[in-house]
Parts: sequence; C-alpha cells; structure tokens
Amino acid sequence: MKSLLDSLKISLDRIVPINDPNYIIGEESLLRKFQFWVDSTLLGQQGFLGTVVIGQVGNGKTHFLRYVKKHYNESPDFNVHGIYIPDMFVGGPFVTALNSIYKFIFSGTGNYSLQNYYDSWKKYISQNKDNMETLSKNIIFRYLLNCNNRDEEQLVLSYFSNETLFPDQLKFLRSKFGAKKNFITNDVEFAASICDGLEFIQQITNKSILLLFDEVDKVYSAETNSSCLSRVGVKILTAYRQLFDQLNLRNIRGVICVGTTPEAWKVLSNQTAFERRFRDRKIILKVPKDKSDCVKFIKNRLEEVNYELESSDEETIFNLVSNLNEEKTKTWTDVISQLNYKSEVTKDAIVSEPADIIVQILEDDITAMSWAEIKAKNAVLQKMYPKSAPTPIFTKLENLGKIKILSTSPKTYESVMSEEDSNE
Amino acid sequence: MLFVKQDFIVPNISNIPTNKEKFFNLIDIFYQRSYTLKELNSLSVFEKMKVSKTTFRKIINHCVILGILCKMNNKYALSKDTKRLAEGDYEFEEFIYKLISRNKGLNRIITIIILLLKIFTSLRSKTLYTIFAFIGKDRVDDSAISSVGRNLRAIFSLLKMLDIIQVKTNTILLNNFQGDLFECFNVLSLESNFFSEIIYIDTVTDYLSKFFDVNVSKKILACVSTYEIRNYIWTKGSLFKDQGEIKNLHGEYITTVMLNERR
Repeated sequence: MKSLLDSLKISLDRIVPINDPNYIIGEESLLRKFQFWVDSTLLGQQGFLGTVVIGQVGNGKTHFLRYVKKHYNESPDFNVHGIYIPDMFVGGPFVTALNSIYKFIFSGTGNYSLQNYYDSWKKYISQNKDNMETLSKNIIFRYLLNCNNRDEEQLVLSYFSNETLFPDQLKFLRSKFGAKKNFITNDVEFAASICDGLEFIQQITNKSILLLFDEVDKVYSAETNSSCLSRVGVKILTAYRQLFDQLNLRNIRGVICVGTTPEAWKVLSNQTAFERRFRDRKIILKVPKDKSDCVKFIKNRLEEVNYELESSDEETIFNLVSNLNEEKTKTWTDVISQLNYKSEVTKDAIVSEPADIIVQILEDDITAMSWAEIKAKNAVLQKMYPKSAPTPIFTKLENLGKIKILSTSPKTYESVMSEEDSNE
Repeated sequence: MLFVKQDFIVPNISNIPTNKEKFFNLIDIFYQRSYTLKELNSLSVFEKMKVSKTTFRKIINHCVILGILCKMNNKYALSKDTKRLAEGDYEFEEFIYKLISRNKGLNRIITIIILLLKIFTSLRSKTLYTIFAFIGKDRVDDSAISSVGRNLRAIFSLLKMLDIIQVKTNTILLNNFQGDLFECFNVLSLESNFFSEIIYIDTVTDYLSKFFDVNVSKKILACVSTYEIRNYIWTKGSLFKDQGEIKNLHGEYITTVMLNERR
C-alpha cells in the first residue's frame, strides 16, 4: 500500500480535471447565487441570463464550470441541460471558428450529440401532432418532419450536430432537402443554427439550457502581447452578441455562464454592448483559500486516486496544511505547488536529520569545508537553511566531539573521524 | 510634495516610552535633575523601571533622538518641551504633537503611514513593515523587516496615544481625526476613486504616483499585493506583457486588482 505522501504527490500531479468533478470547495455561496439564477429560468423567466465567473489563472474556473455542468445534468431534481464549451474563442479564419464552436456545443467531448434526443423526439412527436405548424420555423423540426424513416431522421440529427458526413450522405441531404455542406457561413447563420439546436432540445425535453463557456482569455491574441481584441476575436464577439439576442428573441430559457480572468473580462467589458448583457451577474471565486478548504481539497484529491484514509492520516494532513504559507494560498495552483514542495521536504526530513547529513558530508571529504560548500552538496540542507548556517547544530556536533569548528573566516568545519583515520 | 526613498528610512527609536504612564515614569526620574550615564547606572534606575541595563541605555539614547531628553556636557536631562509638559504648560497630546513636528523625518514617516492607510483603508502591520524595509533599506529579508517593525511599532504607539490609529489583531485602521499638523492631502481610497470593479494595476500605480515617486509607488504595490490578499484580489496576468505589471514579492506579475467582496 502506498503511503499518504506518495499518493498525494500522484494526485497533485494533475492540474486540469479529467472527468467532470463531483466536488467543489469553498464556493457554497456562489453556488447558491448561481442556483438562484437557474431557478428563475425554471420558474418561467423568459430568455437567457448572462452570468460571469471571475477568477485568476488556476483559481478553479474550469473546475467550477465543469462541476456545475455535472451537478445539473446528473441530478434528476433539476430540469436543466448543461453544455460545456471549452474554448469561447477559437483561432483561425472566422467561418471555421464559428463552425468549430457550433461543433463543440453539439458534439464536443462530454456534450450530447443531437442524436441522443432521438427517442425523446419520437415521444414528443407522438404527443404533439397538432401544433407542428408553429414548430416548422425551426429548421431541424422541418427536416425531421419530412423524413421517411429512422435512418433519415438520424442522418438529419447528425448533420445538425455538425458531424463529418460521408459524401453520399451529403449528396442525399442535398437532393432531398437542398442542404448545404456547411450550414454556417456567417454570424447570422451561426446564431440561428445554435438557436435552432437549443430550441429543439428545449422543446422536446422541456429543460432549461446552461451554456458554460471557458477560456475567455483567448479573446486577445498572445502574439501581439497586447490587451486588445484580435480582429477575428471582435468578429466572434459580434457573433456571440447576435446569438444572445436571438436566444432572447426566440424565448429560449437558460443561463449563459462565462468563465474568465479579470484581465480578459476587463478587455471584454470595453465592448459595452456585449458587457451589458452580463452586468450585475458576476460571481468571483474565493481568494485566498482557507486552511479548512485545503484540508478538504487534499482529501478529495486523495479520493480521486482511490486512497483510503486511515485515522492517523488526519493528523498528517492537518500538519501539512498548517505548514502552508497563508500568503501563498491565493489560488488552487498555489496550494498545489506549495503542497508538492512541502511533501518533498517532509519526506526527506524523515529519512535523515540535518545533523546526520552534515556529519556524512564532512566524513566524505578530508578537507575542511565552509557552510557554503557543505550546503552545495545537499539539496535538503539548501531547502532547510536557505540563508545562514545552522549554528546550533554545529555547536551541538562539536560538543559531541563529532566535528571540529575552525575559526577561519568564514568558519570552516571538519570531521573529527577523518583526522583520526589519517593519523593511523 | 512627492515622497522619495529617503523619506522611508525609519529612525531608530524602538525603545521610547510606549504609553502615557511610561512617559511620566521617565519624567519623574529626570524632573529638575540631570545625570550622566554612569550616575544613572550606579543609581540602578533601570531596576526601578524593570528593564535591563542595555535596554535602559537604549531608552535613553532613543529618547535623545526623539527629543524627549537632551544631552548637555555628557549629562542627560529633560528637553525643553518635556519640561513644559512636566510643569503643566502642555497637555499630553499637545506634547506628542510637538515632539513629532520637531522631528522632520518622523513627521514624514507618520504622514506616509496616514496616507497609505487613507488609500488602502486598512493595512496589516506586516505590510507596513515590509513597505518601509523594502523602500528604506532595499531589503525584504526577515531581519530587516523585524528591525523596521520594532521601530514602527514605537511610532504606532505614538499614533495610538494621539488616537489617530487603532490596531486590531495585526491590522491597522485609521480613526477619524482632525489635525492640522500633518500635511493634509485630498486623498480618496482606492474604493472610492475607482468605481469599476476591475482595476488595471497601472492605473493604481498612476494614482499612487500623485503622492510617491514612481519607483516608490511600484515598491509599495509590490508589498501590498503580496500581503493584502484578503481585502483585495490581486491577479496574475495570463501572460507577461510588460504593460505596467507589478512584480510582487513572490515573483508573480500582477495585472489587475479587484475589491474582495467576501472580506
């Protein structure tokens, strides 16, 4: 069985969550706030609410968004469908970028393709045969209503999930519906297509939609080293504005949540037309992290690598956390790097006492050594005494007769043992 | 007036009396008398004051620096101001004001402390120690900070006697006070000066540069952004752009600051 410190080290190696996390620490009040917004869309508030999660690099923005997605998608209490989009801004040419974003929404990792709703669609259509006319404005419904069999319907759904289709499938769609290869060629079509997709989901499942956008920092280009929007960035932003307006116009219920660094949000807020859709609905992730948060964090991380906590571990964890420097626990990344460093030192310290290390180093060498020379030979000593020599240890060793202190400037030390050996 | 590096050099006055009672104890000893240091030692005055011989010598020295005592022909006696306090010409607070105004360096340091407290509303004592050590001594190691801290605590005690500041669990807060002694600046706190929630750090540097030299402003922000992490959220940029970021004492480049709503 692996020790606690080993397991902790393994569990801390990972920075970004792989699976959507099922825990979140210290953000209870933010979740309540968020729940309030979600509730208001469930209770019949029409249109989309724009919300922002602000936190600096490594503070858990991605964690928050992915937790929220899992939390709402998996719990049957909520009538909510969460969609996580890992990149709000995509590089490259404008139209390609819009297509990639669309693709993320309906077939990105962890999101459901429209094909998943086939059964719900069948159920829905059997119950609502009469009001089909109002729905036929939605292009997905229109295509589906004109399909002859299951295969055709599923093909239509994968087409609207923007999946890559075979040429003969495309040929069929073109001859039957006049469908184009790419149905998004500008920002208006981008907004309209997403609205169609989301409306389709909302109509047949009657759920509120959560759109969770991540990595908003990509809004400004890294190459220019400046805090301004890249040209494509501005265009994508306009497309989003179009989208948010469309969502409201078409009465689709839901919440948009954007995870951003303060820096990126500052850049975006200069686009006032965009920013006003989010005004007054900001949540700011907790800074700094408390010690009790850190304890919970360690336990959750250990759980992720299937480590079973023993009763004695509580104390070890508590000691680890109480050694953390409170000024350096602003973000989870800070906590992780401090814990990594601390767990290394504690491990080495258990193996050997500094006094033993010093004696060992001096015994290995026949010449007298200064503190700087001794320190250079051992990483543990460097970490333990970054500044000046541990004089009490040297005095103690001299009293024990293990070493000699020579009053040179700077002071040098030599092993008594080695002298005896050479005398013989 | 802009404050520069030299204004941040804290005088060595850590052992001055820190409350009214101790002041009057000292006055009792010297009232209408004068002694050489030898005489004081032989009289064992230090035992009456419950301090060691060396500490007592420091008390005498620091009091001379501040102008509580004066030294004439190797003999220590009360200074003019202290005499007038002893004779009842001055109120105690008036006396402290006189002491501070006589001492230009001390006056500046106190003005700086008040100014910083006005801008940041409250500061941890560690932050203030680090600011004065970093700017005055160009050092941020523990020994520099603790020696500056000793001297600043003596100054804090003077300010507490004047009821200008209060210290609450390592945090220093400014009281409302009316005083014409210290240069009055028209200072707004960061909160009231910047309305928007997210502030670029270079705007804060600009704001501080109204009162401090640019390099000093940057150093102040480096210290504040390292230790004042509960009232404000100082955030690293995602990439270093060389656009007025502040490098804090942990080596992070800070680009923006927000008010922490949860404090």
